[in-house]
Amino acid sequence: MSVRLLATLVLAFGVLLCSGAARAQVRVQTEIAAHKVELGDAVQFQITAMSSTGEAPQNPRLAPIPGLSIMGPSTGTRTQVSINNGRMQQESGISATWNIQAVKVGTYRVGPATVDLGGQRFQSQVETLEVVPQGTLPRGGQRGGGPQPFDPFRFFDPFGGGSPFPPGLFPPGDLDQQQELPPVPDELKVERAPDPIAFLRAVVTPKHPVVGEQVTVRIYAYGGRGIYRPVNAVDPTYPDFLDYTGQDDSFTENAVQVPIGDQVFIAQKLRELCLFPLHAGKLTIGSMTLTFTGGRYVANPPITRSSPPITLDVVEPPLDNRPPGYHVGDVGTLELSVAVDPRRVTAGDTVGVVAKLEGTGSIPTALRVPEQRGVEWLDPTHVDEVHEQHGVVRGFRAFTYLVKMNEPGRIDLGELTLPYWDPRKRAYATARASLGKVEVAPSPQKAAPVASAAAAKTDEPDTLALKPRRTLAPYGPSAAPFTDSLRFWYLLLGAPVAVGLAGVGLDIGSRLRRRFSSARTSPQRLAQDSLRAAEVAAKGSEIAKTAAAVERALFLAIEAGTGIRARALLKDDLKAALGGAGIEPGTIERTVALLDACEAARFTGKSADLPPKELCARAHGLVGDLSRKRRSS
Amino acid sequence: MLGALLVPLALVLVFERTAAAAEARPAFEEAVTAIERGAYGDAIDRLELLADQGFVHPDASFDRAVAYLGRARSPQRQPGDLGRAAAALAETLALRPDDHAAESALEAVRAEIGRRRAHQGGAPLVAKPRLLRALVGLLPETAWGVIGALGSASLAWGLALRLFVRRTSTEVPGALAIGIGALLLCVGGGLALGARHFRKSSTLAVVVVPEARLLDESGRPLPVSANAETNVVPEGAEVYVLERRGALDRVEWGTTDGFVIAGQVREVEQHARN
Repeated sequence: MSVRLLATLVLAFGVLLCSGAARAQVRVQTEIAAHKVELGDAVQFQITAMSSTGEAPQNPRLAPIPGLSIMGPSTGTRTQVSINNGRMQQESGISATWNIQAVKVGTYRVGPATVDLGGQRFQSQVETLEVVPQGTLPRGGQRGGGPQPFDPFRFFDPFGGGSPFPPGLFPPGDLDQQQELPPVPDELKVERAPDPIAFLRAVVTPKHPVVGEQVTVRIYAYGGRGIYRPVNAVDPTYPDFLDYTGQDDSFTENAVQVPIGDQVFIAQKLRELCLFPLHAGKLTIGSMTLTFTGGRYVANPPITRSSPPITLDVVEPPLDNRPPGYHVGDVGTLELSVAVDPRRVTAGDTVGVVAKLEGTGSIPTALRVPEQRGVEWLDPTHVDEVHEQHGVVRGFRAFTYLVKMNEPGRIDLGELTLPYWDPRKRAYATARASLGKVEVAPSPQKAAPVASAAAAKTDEPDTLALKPRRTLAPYGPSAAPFTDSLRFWYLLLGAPVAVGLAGVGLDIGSRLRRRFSSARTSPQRLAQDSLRAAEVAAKGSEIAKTAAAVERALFLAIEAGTGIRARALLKDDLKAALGGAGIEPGTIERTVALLDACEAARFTGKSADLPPKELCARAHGLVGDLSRKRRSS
Repeated sequence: MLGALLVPLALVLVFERTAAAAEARPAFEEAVTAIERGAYGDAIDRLELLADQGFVHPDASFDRAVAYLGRARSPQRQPGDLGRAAAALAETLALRPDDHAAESALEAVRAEIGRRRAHQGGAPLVAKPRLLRALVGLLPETAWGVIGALGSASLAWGLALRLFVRRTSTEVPGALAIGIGALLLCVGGGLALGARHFRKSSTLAVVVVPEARLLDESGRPLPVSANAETNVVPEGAEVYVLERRGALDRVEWGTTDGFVIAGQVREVEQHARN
């Protein structure tokens, strides 16, 4: 008993000694921007933890305080070198800054904040903060974050503005801007603010994933009016993705100040989604909506903002160099290990195969088993542990197979494989695990029934037991059918149409030809020709020729107009015939007179009363009258 | 001039196909070896990869069918293996219509599926096709084209006799040629046009799941109507894919139109891809 007590005391002493030594290694300073603020105002609470061990403290924490809204911390690293009594001492550490907003009147104890180093926790001092109703403090007084009264004993900051100079001495953007803001994480930096009041921003990586590759979506909130409370969050929808997002929503505490242009926003990460696209195509991740409340964010109308929806062009991994058995969606970085037990069995017994597939990605749910005759792989059982860890989905799946060994001998089981697409290398890879050999002893009890069953089966022909074809026989891919060619259809319909059109065309042509030839020998046409011959003769003052041509023209005109061949008739008979044909008496008289004149001129060869031109002129009028068609008498 | 252009083009195509076959041969031979040692899953993986890579050959399709049939009869059987075997055999026949072994194997696979369905009281495998598709399917498209061409020639000859040779002795033969030619032209040309339309606007496919439920455009199951005795298309049934809308295929099964989930049917390659 006394020995145990002594040992306990020694241990307790050792712990105290060690903790005292460690405490001496971490120096925690505390600072609060103001000790008295008005309701709704914000104040910064900062700790600086420095260590001389060469390792910086981590995990700054500040417990929640009812009545105060705490956001942060934003952390930054610090290194300090000092020389003391000729010895150089280097310290490294962090600064952590919380934004504290007063939401209820009262006096609060802020802290202690804690940091961790080497498995131990170190605490800061406790500060007091008094929250008074709005309008209580004088303007320009001691308000959170505002200027402080002049204090001549604070040599480096007598005006409370973080500067040895009074405010206004230098233009803003010079020293004021150099006021230390905690370092901004790269993921929160934005070049331009789309909205000066508040906005949500969604970032996705990678932008061109393949099916089954992890897509990380980070959604950030930015408030331009100081600290806010995010409420009424509506998460995005993503029906075409498998979600492996963890349940940790601690992002809402990590608000930091982010300068964007001339404005300082309070930014924080709202969500980090780990998604896996389920198929190829243009897949959309919906918007997230959030309402900003508290502080200077008005409640009516509420300040509600949405992140823009994201559309990703998801493709399948390339077909080139794709290994056999690759299933679209098997993506990640994977390793396969296997254990086989037992290695000696009797035919008909089973061996156990436990395969562990681990790595990053969604971890495929099936492996390629090495099939062969006499070895029967039963369906496996699974043990899975796949989860998101620091933004990466990783884990393992263990497959337990029972493998039935039906045939005796030293059986090489082959290897388990899993082809996958490695997104980092942008190439296919195959996880393999060799299974080794198993000694299978013959089992005489089971041989007989199997043989008899086989014999029974051979009695009936098995039409589904096909032999594979060992070679690729010459094969001429069939050409596209000729019905695809437009020429075929032109010919099909064009041949009869062309023949028909040709026949009709020929018929029309022959009719036209006949009509043309009959027109050329018609009396009317000949009468006109004779008239022209008469005019030619008249120009040469050949009275006989003129008279003969005029006479011929008149006879042909009579034939054209009445069908009467007048040359064969006597003059009296002609008068009667013309009268019977409906020709006016005056025309008949003039015709007969002109015929008489022509006859006289033809026989005498002189122009007694009418010169040749006058004969032609009279004949013109009469030929026109006579050649008009009349009803036949 | 045209021949001078076509001959090199044909040579290039032949060379490409020969080169593709040479590239695919090792994978094909590995698949055959896998079938022979009973590793049907491995053979299926290799032959499916070849198909995905665009290699189309009736013997590769036949061996794919053999691998699926082998797996369907092994303890590693998967639902839909027989349907996939039927699809592969249908592809073999589409690529090489005179492959009698594939034809008899396809009949045997359909008989086996039908037998299994009959045990379960399922719908029949074959549905009555639409009248026009049935008429068009009586003969190959090219045969209808030849009939139409004969009709066209006969009609042209008859018209020529009537229009150009105007003799009493040619009147009757001319009229007969016109009548017969017009009939053949209408029937042959019309059905060739119909066959061409069906070939261009729809693709033969085979159901590769135990049952494919017919859906409407929004994905809800089609009601059983007087026209459609059932809204379930059985494994191995031949359907015609009319169009794809997102994850759904619009298919024609018998006289019924409906949508099925795209992965439930496998389209049959009709020609080698180039």
